[in-house]
Amino acid sequence: MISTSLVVGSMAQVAHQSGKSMAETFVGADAVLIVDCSRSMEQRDSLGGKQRYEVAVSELARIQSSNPGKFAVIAFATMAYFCPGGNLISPAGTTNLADALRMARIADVAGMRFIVISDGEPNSETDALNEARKFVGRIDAVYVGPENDIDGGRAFLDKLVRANGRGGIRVVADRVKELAAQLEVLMIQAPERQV
Amino acid sequence: MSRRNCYVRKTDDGELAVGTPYDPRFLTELKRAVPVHQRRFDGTTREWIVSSNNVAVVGDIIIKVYGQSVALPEVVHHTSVTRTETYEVRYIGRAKIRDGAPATSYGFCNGEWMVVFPEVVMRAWFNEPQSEDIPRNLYSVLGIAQQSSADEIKSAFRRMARQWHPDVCKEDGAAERFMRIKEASEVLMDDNKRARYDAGLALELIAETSVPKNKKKPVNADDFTKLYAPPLRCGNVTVTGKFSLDRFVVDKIEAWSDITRDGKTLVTSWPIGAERFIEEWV
Repeated sequence: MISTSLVVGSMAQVAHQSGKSMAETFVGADAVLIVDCSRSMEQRDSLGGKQRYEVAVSELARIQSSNPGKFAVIAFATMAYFCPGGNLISPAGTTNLADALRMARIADVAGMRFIVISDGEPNSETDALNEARKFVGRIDAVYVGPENDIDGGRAFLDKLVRANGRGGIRVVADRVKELAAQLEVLMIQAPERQV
Repeated sequence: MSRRNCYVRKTDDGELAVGTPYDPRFLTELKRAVPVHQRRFDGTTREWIVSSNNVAVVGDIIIKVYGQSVALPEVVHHTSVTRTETYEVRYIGRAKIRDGAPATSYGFCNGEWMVVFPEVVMRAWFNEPQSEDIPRNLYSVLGIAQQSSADEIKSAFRRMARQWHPDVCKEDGAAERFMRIKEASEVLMDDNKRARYDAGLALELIAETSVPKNKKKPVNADDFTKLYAPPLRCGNVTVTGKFSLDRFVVDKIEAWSDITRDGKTLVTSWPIGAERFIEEWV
């Protein structure tokens, strides 16, 4: 289920405010955020015992409001959803990253960046890596699982940015904490360094 | 109420001229039974001119409304032949719904409002959505298809900018429309911006199919009117269609080019409150 209220600074909200279409607003976008909303995002191990999902919602709202019209949001679980209003789908289901990357590839035009935000491994690693290889644009990743979990989702996201091969990096926002700050870092950081 | 009898006679053109005392029921029945472009009221003779194919229908209506059985002339039933014509149309008005029929615009040509453009045909030619409730995209602001080449975009921009430049065009909303044309060209004439815009259109389509539709009409700079007005008001227009009562009813627009003279192009517009459209050579 996608909320129909608009996050301040989201594509749809900026479009509504300026009297332009969402497509015109997208002309000025910098990046597409591809956000994992699978069941694992329900875990209450984030700030103050909150769900990772709840923190992700507020962190994404924060980055959109401080960068109006700059981020488009695709949320995914068992399926992918484009979320012009900046809201995420409720957490449920599996991690179909390949489907989300297929949708994001629509926006794979010169200068557009893609940031995958996930805490786990996808349904099909092979499919997701194959999709990542097709991108002309750079894919970065933010790992939002526990910082001390080295081998699972974090290792996969490393493979993902390498498969993309456009100099993207993977950063960590431990259990979604400071996700917005990490996204800001990604948007200004040089592409070579792994964090 | 006039006591004159009803009659139906044949006109010089082989159509029907129908005279009756005024009765609103006759009008209602005529409008219900005879398509809008197969009838017109002649204010001089106070007769309805009706396409000859409707002779039996007219007779039946007169019996029904007035209880009179009138002599019906022998007419040749003509099958409307689809033909292709090119007209120098000097001005095309806003589309209006006439007698409940689908909206049409009339084009002024050879001193008469004789070319009938259904709104649906006009919108199709200019790649516009088939309703004012759907916002125009930037391609339809310029009246072109999404697949148009860079040259086609450039030439469409020149043409639209010439038509809507506020120094020349006196139509209501010309300045807003001109700004919108400029905005559209700024995006579509830049390859990178155009690619992003196309991606945005594709994402918009996905959003429309996955999110419940907002009932509220979207805000859009182009929605300044509910009465459709074609983005170009004049031109040499090649059209396919059929003649009906001395008017040419367009089924499809085949080609549209500027009217030019001595290296200048005609732009026409109708100022608010004016009795007639004005012509400017630019």
